[in-house]
Amino acid sequence: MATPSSIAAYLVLFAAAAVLFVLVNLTLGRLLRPKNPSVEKGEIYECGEPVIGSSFVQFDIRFYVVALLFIVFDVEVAFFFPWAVVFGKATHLTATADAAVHAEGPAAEVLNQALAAQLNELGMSDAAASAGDIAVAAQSLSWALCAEIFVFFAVLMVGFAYVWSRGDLNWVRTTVNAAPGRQDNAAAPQAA
Amino acid sequence: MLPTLVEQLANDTAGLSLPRSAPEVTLVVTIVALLLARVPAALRRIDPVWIALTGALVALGCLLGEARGGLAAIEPVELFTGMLRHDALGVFSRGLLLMFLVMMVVLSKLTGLASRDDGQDFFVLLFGATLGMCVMCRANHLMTVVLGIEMASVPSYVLVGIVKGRRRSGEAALKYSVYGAAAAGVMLYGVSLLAGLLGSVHLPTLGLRLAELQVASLAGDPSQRGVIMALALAGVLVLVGMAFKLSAAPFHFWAPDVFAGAPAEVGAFLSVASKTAALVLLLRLVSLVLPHGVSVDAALPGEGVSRLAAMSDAGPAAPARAFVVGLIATAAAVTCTLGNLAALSQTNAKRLLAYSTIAHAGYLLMPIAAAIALAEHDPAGASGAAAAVMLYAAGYLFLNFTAFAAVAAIRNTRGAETIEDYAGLIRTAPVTAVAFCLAMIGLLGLPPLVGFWGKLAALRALVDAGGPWMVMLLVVAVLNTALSLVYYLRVVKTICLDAPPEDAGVERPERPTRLLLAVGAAPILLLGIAPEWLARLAGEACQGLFG
Repeated sequence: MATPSSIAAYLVLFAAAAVLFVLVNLTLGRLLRPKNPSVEKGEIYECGEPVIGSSFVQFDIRFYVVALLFIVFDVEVAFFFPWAVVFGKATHLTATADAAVHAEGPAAEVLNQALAAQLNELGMSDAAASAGDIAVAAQSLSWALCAEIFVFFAVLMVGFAYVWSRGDLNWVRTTVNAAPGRQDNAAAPQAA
Repeated sequence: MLPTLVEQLANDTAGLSLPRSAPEVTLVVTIVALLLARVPAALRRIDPVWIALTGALVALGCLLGEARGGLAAIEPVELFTGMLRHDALGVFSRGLLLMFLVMMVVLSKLTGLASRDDGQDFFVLLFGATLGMCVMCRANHLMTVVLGIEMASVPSYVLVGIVKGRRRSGEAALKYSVYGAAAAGVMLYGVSLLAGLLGSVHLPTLGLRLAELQVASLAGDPSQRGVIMALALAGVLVLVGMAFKLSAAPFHFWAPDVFAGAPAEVGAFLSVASKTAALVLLLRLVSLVLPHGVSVDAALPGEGVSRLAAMSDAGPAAPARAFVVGLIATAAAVTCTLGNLAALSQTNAKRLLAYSTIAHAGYLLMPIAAAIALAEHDPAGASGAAAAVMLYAAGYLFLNFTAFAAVAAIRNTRGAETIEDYAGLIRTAPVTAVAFCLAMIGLLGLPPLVGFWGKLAALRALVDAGGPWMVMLLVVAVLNTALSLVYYLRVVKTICLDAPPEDAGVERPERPTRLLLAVGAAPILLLGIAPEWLARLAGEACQGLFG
């Protein structure tokens, strides 16, 4: 049972297992492995290539700017997914309900069943409402959703245009020249 | 079912919610307009301050439209399917925030923080944070609580570091964001515990569930002790998040460094707007989640009634209430004392104001503790205590705005921010000096300035509530006020009595800045002489808050 104390117990158990897993494996490795170190083994791993310089170098701030922009837009796109699911269901419902209104005979029966199944999926059982009413409601829902995403996307685009016009997307916006000890290759980034 | 659902949704959004959220919509439109105006070359010549000022004034106008029929006439109603709550307290507190926003826009332009070329960055962050604070002021759902706090916090972190290339600024911004992220995480954990234990995220429903839970009878049952512990933990964790926003002890460590590193204008925004929003949110949480006025007649089980249950003769959540009162009262007493003691030895004006901010967070928490204690038996008294909080906060707005604006003005003319450098200011820059002294004496709480009435109302709420906690708070508040006399008056003495430095040149700020200082300082005196109007507004805003 998920009582609060059992949740706490599970958490402690989980943490203990995690710590033990690392400790046991490291100790086991230490006991079992042969010990013959060499200069090559001590080198930085570079996929078999000879290493050039130290790995402790300063990364240019430009990478972070691009990464930050990427994350912003990536998260925005993540907001599209739940919207797309709801929008897809609404338009599907509109299509089915519309077809059910216009169909006759056995086809109508099949479509009505499909409509009921779709509504059931949304957590609604609609015995009372007619297919026509459902079609109208679902259609207004999908139009509202459409307008919503356009507003959302327009605001996003304003931000994008702002960032662009301010030059934050330009790759060469560097302060390398100002950094001390870099005079030897100061001209290189500007030429790029 | 679907047709009625869609119709209800449309009515709720278009008919009920959006018209009552006009100020927020205006803020959003202003943010987009500020950014858009920078894109085409033709519009780039417009100074962003005009767009920001128009937006802030329109938002304030929309809010005054909401309050047209008087605050007392506003019926509480839930907006956006229960996410937000529209009531008099929300309108009053948002009015304070939007008025403060207008003052901030003017101040940041006059002191040169928002320049012609980069001003939109500052204004967008300022408006975004204010939007989040408006959400905090109307939150009615755990999701909007968290969302509002985050929307207010994230722009604040950037605002602290808005002056680029200054080491202290960057350090302050980093400290603030790291502390803020940790506090938000802790609070989210508390929120998730609360939602999981009580099975709802809608604040009034949470209150009902807590009442049904019969905390008092649960405490007597050993097998249910885990639930009580988890509930207490949830309460503590949520209060940790609130304490961070309020800069209340023991989560006040960020404040001095952040206020010292940030520009004085941003300090004003953080200390006033952020704190007002957090106070309103705390009032909402305690008035909605802690059940009150629920007459549950179910008798407690006769046997095995614990000591806790035996003490509570009234409400079903009396132990929860007593627990929260104890937490808030302790935090208030510690915050107040620590803030005042640390302020005694400060030499930097912004650090001094930061510790004064911490001390005032303590004073402001005291009537909230009183309100929770009173809510059990005397809902009207509890609403009165809440009104004391709002009266204090409204006065505090003018006091701290004037103090920080004066610090910014002196920084621009004298280029210094230590208190020694303020020597003899009364002779070289009389308007700034008088405004700063008024703010200091007002913060101290001497009559006839506005700070006095807020403090008086707060202390009276403590007396009304009674009980050992409240007596303790009363003693702490009075002792602390005496203690704060030392450092507030020391600043006044330096400004008025010490000789100005030899090389003091032209020190008067420009005429618009002097005018703004006068506009900020005038309410300190005017509302101090005639506080009835503000007190009545605050009373109407909080009427019926506790049932």
